[in-house]
Amino acid sequence: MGRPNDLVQGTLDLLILKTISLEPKHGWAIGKRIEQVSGDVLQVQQGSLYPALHRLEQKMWIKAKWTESETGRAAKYYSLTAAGRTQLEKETANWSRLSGAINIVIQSV
Amino acid sequence: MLWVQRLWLRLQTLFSRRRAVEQLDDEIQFHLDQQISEYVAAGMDREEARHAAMRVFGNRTLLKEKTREAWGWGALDQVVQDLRYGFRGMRRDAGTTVLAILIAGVGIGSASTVFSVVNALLLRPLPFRDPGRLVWISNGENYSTQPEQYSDLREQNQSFSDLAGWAGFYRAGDKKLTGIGEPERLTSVPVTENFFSLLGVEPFIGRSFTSEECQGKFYAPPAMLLSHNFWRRRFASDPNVVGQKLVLDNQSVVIVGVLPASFDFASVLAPGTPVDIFIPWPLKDTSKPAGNTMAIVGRLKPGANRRKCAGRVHRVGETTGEPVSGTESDQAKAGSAGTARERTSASRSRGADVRSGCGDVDCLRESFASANGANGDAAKGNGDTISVRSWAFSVDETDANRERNSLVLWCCVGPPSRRGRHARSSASRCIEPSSSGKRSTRWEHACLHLAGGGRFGRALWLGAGAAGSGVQAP
Repeated sequence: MGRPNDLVQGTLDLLILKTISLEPKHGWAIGKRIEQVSGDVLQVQQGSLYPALHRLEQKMWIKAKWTESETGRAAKYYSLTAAGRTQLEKETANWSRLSGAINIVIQSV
Repeated sequence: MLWVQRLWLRLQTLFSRRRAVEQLDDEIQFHLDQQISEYVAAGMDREEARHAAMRVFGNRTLLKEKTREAWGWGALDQVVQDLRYGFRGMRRDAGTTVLAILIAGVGIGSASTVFSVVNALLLRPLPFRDPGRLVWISNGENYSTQPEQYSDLREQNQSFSDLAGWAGFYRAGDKKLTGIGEPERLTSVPVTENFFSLLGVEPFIGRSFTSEECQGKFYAPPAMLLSHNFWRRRFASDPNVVGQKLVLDNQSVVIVGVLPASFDFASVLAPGTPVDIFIPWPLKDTSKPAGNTMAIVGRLKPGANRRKCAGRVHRVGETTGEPVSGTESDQAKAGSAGTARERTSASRSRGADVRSGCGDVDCLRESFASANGANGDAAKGNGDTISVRSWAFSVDETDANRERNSLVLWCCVGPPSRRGRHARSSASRCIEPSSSGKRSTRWEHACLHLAGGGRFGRALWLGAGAAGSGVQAP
C-alpha cells in the first residue's frame, strides 16, 4: 500500500492530526514526517495532502498560522485545535478497533 | 460554538478570496522549494531538482482546484465563472447584445404596461363598499349628466338607496393655493355632499362635508378634503392639518379631513388625472356649471331589480320631459313621485323656452356591453351570479333633428361566456321610440368632447368602446 491513492481518506486525516499533535508543522514537513515514521511505506501525495489540510482547517480541527520557517521563509504552519485533539482521540480509537478487528479476522483464518 | 467559528472561517475565505488564493500559491511554492532544496542537498543539479520536484508534485492546477473545493464555495465559483464567460461573450458581440437587451426591455415594458391596465380595469375590485351595487348614470354617449337630472332622479328615486355625483369638468390645476410656502396649482373635484358616504369611503382623519358646507357658492367652497397623496406630499402627513385654513383662489377654505390612501379617485374614476383636493358642490347655487357637467353614481337598494330600475329611470325621464309649462301639478298627474321643485326652478332660471332637464325619453335600451361585462366579471368570481358592477342609465338625445331622446341602461354583467349573447340580444330588446313630438332642449351635444376625454374613468373608457355599437340612434 505504498501509493497514497490507496490511503483511505479518513486514514489520511488521522495521520495528519497525529503528525501535528506534538508540534505545528507545514505541509511539506507533514508529508515528510509521515513517510519517515512509516519507514517510507506511506507516501503522501501532495494531490491529496493540501486539499485534506484545507478541509481539516475548515472543520476547525486544525488551525494555520504563517510563521518563519527554519530556512527563514514564511511558511504555513498547521497545529491542532482543541476540537482537533478530541477528533484525534476519537479517530485513533476508531482505527484501533477497526485494525484490531481486521487482525483478528486475518489471523483466525 | 464551533459552528459559528466554522461559518466565520468560511465567510472569511469567501470575502478574502484573492488573499486565500495567493496564500495557497505561496504554500505550494514553499512546498516545491523545500522539495528542490532536498534534492539539491542530495546532489542533484538545481534545474534538474526543480523538474523532479514538479514531477513529484503532480498537476498543480488540479491540486489548487481541489483545495478550493475544500473551501466549500465551488458552486458559487462556477456561477461566477459562467457569468464572466457570459459577459465576455456579450462584449465580443456587442451589436447582438444591444439588440437582445432592447427586445427584452420592450417586451418586459409592454407586458407590464398591459398588466397594469388589466389590473386596474379587470382584476382589482373597485375600492368601494359593496361595489356590486354601484351604478353609473350618464346622459347618452357623453357619459355625463346635468345637475338637474341628478336632482330629478334623486327626488323621484325608488331603486337607489342614494345617488351622488361629482363635477366632471374639473381641470388639472384649476385652483391656486397661496399663503403657505410655495404657491401651487391644485386639481380639485367638486363632489356632492353624500359622495363619500355613498361610496363607503370614510375620511382617514377628520370628517366629510356637512350640509351647510354644501350650500355655499360654487366658486367659493367653505371646506375641502385632501387626497391622501396630496396630504403626504404637501403636508408630510401632518395629522394636525385638519382644521387649518388654506387660501384657494384668494378664498379661505378650511381643511375638514383627509381621505384614506385606498381611495384613489384618479385611478378609479379619472385615469391620468391625479386629484389633490375635493370640494363641496353646491347644487342649488345657480353659478354652478350648467349642461352635462355631472357624473352620477348610484347605489342600488339591496335586491333591486335592474330592469325595474331602468324602467323607473325611464319614467323619471318621461315625467321630467314635460314642457316647462307643465308645472308641479302636471307632473303630479303624470304620476311623478317627486315634486321636482329644484329642477323646475333650475330650468326656469335658464329661460322661458327651456324645457325640463330630462326631455323626451322614448327608448329604453338595455345594453350589456361586453367590455363593461369584463369589468363586472372581475368584481365577483361567483359562477352563475351576475355581478353588476357598474351600470349606466343614460338619457340620450341621439338626433337633435328628430327631437327625441333615448334612455339607455348600461350594465356590466358576469360570466364571460354569457356576455356575447347579452350583447347581441340587447339590440333586439330596444324599444323603438314613439314619435311623441315632445320637445326636449339642451342636452348632450354640448359635451361631445367628454366621450373622448376619459375623464370619467374606466367605466367610461370601457363604455365608450361599446357605445358605438350599443347606443346608436334607433
